[in-house]
Amino acid sequence: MSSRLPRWLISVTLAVYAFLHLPLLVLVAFSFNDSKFSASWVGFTLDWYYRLFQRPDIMRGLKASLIVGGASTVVSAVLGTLVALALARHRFRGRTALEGFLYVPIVTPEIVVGISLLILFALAKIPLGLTTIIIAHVAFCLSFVVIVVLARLEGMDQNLEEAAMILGADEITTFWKVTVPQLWPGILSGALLAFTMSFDDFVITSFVSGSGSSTLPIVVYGMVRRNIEPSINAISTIILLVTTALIYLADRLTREK
Amino acid sequence: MTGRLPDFIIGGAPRSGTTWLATTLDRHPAIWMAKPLRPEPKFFLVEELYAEGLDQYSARWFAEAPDDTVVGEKSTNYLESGSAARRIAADLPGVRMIFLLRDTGLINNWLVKLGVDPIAMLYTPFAVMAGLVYGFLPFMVLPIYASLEKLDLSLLEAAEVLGARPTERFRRVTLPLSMPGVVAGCLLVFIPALGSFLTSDLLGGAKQMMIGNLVQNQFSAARNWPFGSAASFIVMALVLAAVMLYLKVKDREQAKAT
Repeated sequence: MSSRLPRWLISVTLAVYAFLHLPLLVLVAFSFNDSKFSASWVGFTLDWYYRLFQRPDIMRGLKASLIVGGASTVVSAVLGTLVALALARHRFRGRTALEGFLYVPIVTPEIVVGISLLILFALAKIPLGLTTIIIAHVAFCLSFVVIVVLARLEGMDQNLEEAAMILGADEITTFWKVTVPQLWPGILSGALLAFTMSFDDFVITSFVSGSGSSTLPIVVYGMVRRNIEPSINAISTIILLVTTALIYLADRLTREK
Repeated sequence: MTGRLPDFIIGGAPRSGTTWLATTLDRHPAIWMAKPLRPEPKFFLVEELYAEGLDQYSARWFAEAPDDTVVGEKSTNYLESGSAARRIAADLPGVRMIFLLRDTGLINNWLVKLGVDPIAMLYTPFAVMAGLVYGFLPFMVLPIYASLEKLDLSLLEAAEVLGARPTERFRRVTLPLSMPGVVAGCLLVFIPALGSFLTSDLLGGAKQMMIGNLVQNQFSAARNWPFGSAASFIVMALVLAAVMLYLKVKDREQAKAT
């Protein structure tokens, strides 16, 4: 069938790819453009990147993003792995329902998750800050970690664990020496996914961050609202690169046999 | 008593060169722009600031202005607000205003060269739509791609052998078999698009309000949490309806397959 690919279909496909990728190319290109206002190319510069590192608000945002990303990744990786193990290895009442509930945070629009968490924190009288952002990020990353680890668990050979037990290893030794090493790529790719989502998230964070605890996307949004300047292109290029690299890594780990 | 107030105000469209104009004028020894230059004063725009009164305005931004200079301030966004215009007219009746406008860009430059009238692109419903399509297109492509990949090509060959023309083959074989992907894609696009507010906020310029903007607004500026919760519950109900529809279609497909 591929031999008779109609020409108009190729044109549409190319147009769609252009629509999706040209804006990103323009963004990246203009982050190196040596002009503050011009919409045309003036010359190459790294000035906008240099300036980023001199802006205290961006540096604070970056620090907050790294803290939030790191903490929520570790917490959701550990909790997510445990939940996946419980769901995959044990039969108990309400298991199917619990597995279904995994998808609720995924199909819920982010804005609803955001305000639900905000109301929860307000009711519990937890002051908004880095802690609430971390809790919120764990809440939306957890499902993704569980799903990735579950997929890995389903492809795993349980005989190896049984063999280890028969050869005299107790449950804890078996877990650390047999289960975890096999599960590792799944856990790692779930963790990378979690970090990426945490690093990128704007909507949920915007509801649960107090003043003075802004992550990078919140800072960037504030900048965009005030004025569009090339520094925004520079920081967006960096975020784009980091995200793409992490997703690529996570994908490679998931495919690893 | 009130101190110095601006003799002129600069505003205009974003990225139309207002900052360039302000910084250039500021270099002139006989002109003094409000300090600090950044962030912009936005005094007539921001409710809290305006509530502080003209004395504060003068003290905060113009206290250091030398007596023998012409004084100005620049807040690009004054252009966007009718109330800012009314306040400036009421408080500074004699003020001179420099507003920079533009409707040029790559596409409009080309249109003008072709002899066509320039069109408004940013801050229109079209801009919001384009932004949403841009953001969610992959969520539609991927499930359709996944179900097309599983499509049994021999079915298409059979249809061809039996004399079906290309359009007919598409309509009666490819389309029905890739329907689960289409429906899943619709769900994956519809749900996040329903709750989105960033796209309409940045590209629609606060004029193109979506329910997401309404919810966001109730929880930030308007501080009406119950109303915001009710609006977000409507979002959830719509999501639920979409998911139910999806499950129903999926069930029917499976029933047909067996």
